[in-house]
Amino acid sequence: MMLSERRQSLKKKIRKSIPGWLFILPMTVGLCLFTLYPIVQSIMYSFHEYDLISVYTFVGVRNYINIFRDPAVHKALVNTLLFAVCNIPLMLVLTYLLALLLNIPLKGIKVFRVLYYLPCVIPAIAGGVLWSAIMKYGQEAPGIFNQIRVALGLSQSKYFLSGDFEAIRAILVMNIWGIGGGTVIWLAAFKNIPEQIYEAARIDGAGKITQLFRITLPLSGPMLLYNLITLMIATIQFNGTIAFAPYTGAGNNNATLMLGVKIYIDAFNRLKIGYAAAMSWMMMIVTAIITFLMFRVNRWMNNDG
Amino acid sequence: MKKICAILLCLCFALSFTACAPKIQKGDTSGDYEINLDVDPDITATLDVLVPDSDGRLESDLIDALAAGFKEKFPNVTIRKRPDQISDEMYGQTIGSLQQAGQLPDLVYTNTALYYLLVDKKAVVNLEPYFATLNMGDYYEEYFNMGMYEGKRYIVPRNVDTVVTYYNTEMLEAAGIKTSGPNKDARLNNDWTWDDFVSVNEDLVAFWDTDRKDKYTYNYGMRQTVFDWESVWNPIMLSCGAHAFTDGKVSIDSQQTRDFVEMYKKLTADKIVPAWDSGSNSRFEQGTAAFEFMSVGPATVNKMALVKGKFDVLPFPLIGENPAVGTGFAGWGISASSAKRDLAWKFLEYMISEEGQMAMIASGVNGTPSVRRSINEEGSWARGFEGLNLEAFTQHAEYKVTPGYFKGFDSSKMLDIQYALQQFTRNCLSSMSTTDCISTAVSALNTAIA
Repeated sequence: MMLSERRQSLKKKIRKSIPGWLFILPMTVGLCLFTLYPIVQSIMYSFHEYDLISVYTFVGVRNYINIFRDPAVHKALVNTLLFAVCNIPLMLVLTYLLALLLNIPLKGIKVFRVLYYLPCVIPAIAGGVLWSAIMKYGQEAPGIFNQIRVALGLSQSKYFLSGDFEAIRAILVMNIWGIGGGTVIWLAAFKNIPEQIYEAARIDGAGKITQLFRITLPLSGPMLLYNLITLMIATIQFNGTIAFAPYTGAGNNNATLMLGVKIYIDAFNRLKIGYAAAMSWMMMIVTAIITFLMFRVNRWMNNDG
Repeated sequence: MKKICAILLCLCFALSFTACAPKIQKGDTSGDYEINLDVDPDITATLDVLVPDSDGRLESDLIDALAAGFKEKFPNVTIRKRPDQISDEMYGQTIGSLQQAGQLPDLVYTNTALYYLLVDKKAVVNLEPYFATLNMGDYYEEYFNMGMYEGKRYIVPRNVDTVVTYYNTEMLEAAGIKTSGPNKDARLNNDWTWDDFVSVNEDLVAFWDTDRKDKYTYNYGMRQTVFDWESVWNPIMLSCGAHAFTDGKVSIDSQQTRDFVEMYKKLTADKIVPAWDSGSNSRFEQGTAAFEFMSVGPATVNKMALVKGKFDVLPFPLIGENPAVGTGFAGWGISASSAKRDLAWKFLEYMISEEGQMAMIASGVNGTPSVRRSINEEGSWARGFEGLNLEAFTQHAEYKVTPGYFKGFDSSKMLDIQYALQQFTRNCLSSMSTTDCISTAVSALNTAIA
């Protein structure tokens, strides 16, 4: 092809693609400004000592090394792992069971679907304030949970004000509030199962239980990986306690100090922006490794199957 | 097309790298500089003042009171308040964000606990050249020295805050403890000690215990939540001779600290103070606690509906042979990035002038003793409350201390140290054993300074 012809063809291509570029321009600009730029910025910060006000000094990988020396990180890691071990299976099972219930073709079931999803659109701060009131601990004006406990003859619980595992247990209960998010994903998976399969099963004499175990569970299985990964990421990044637990979410005796909370405290309370950025990247790397392993296990299981 | 995308992406990365070096304060804030106090009264300018947005408009109203008088001196200067989040947790973030945005106001609000970060981060300038122009004999210089950092002063305090003991006269009278008249209880005097404080409370508890199940179910001598306030535990610890650090190392595991813990534990054991984790909401302002350690003036207390007109005040009880009384300040520093440094000083100078101090007092917003000697000597700082024991605020000046346990450490560790010690005091009021309280504190303090 002659050079002039090639140039002509390129020009034509570009001219043709202009409307397409224009359509994606706002999104691209937004992505560059609000996602790409902060990502690069945080990489830069992670190699600097930076306090927002007067210090911005290159320190190499010192921030990354300090993560392994910081005893508060160890505490945060233990709390996060403890929370993850309890929260992920609990949420997976509960969202699945709720989705099964909300999938029953009853009159008015859509109202229930909306009601269960509603907490997901309520801001976390508002949710935190609400749960603080529900779990309020106090002799004179306890929250409704403690009023119930007292009525049952039990002693009051400190919930997230406790200085031990009781605090994480309280957060696990509070987290059930956001069950609607995962449920919607399962519902979408159920809707993708062709109705003909159920029909065929019914003709073959399969009951509801058999249908559940032989059709619904195996065919909604692929969504398990998605739910597991998103839940794992959300759990590792969890910093919801900032809104209500004492000491900027760290809780009494650091009982609710999780990695997400630690990053927030270091960045915005202690102004150790560089260190917090390094921790964020470490968290990202750990999350990426776990996600990769999950994909590998999933592939291995499917191939095995 | 892929190549174009790759080039665009690389460009974006390159631009990000070059553009993401943040804006920081580079100027020297501690060195000498030329000052010009001959500011033109006809100058047209706007002075931005950072005020807390969650203190019930206290600082905001005080600035309003000052702005009116300052307008007479500089008619074309507008005082613009810039409310923002000011708390132990949010202060650094607030200052940092404003600095990054190039929006740090000319005058930056601070207080005893927060100034260290402000100065350590070089956000405000050294005011020594300005202080040199003042006749310090007119003022209580020790209050100006509270905001000192490495031998230099950076903050101008608006007034003096001293922790005093408010008490509900009606509750004490009901228990047979005379609060006035010829038979006034001898323990209620300006030299009262911790033992007197405990003893009066024991009498109260004994009285309440006669009807504990009905009328006095929730009554306590004092709420537990005041005992984790650094202006309370810090002087008590110091009075006991207990120190969190010595030469930069944790030294809280000592006999003196054990004495401090035992003192706290006795309060809960004697039912003077509810246990930290009891969930009690007993409060002075609700009429369910007889005493309260506070640093606000009587005008503020008189706004509390349930204690209005039935309270009096005593100094902080003295402990041992080396007593300490918590004190502090609230005030303003001049931003290092301010282009109107001299005008900002003029405003601060007006604030601590007789006229400015009286303007704040007349506003009735808070009303604590003045930084000026003449006003305190005349007692004009608390008009309308002359019947109260106002000497309580100015007594024992020689024992007054500000929190200094974080000095010598990087300011980024300040909050962790404060949290560790606060948690320690809370543990002291819980069922945790003395040994566990101390070992937990040692571990938390070591983590804080790691």
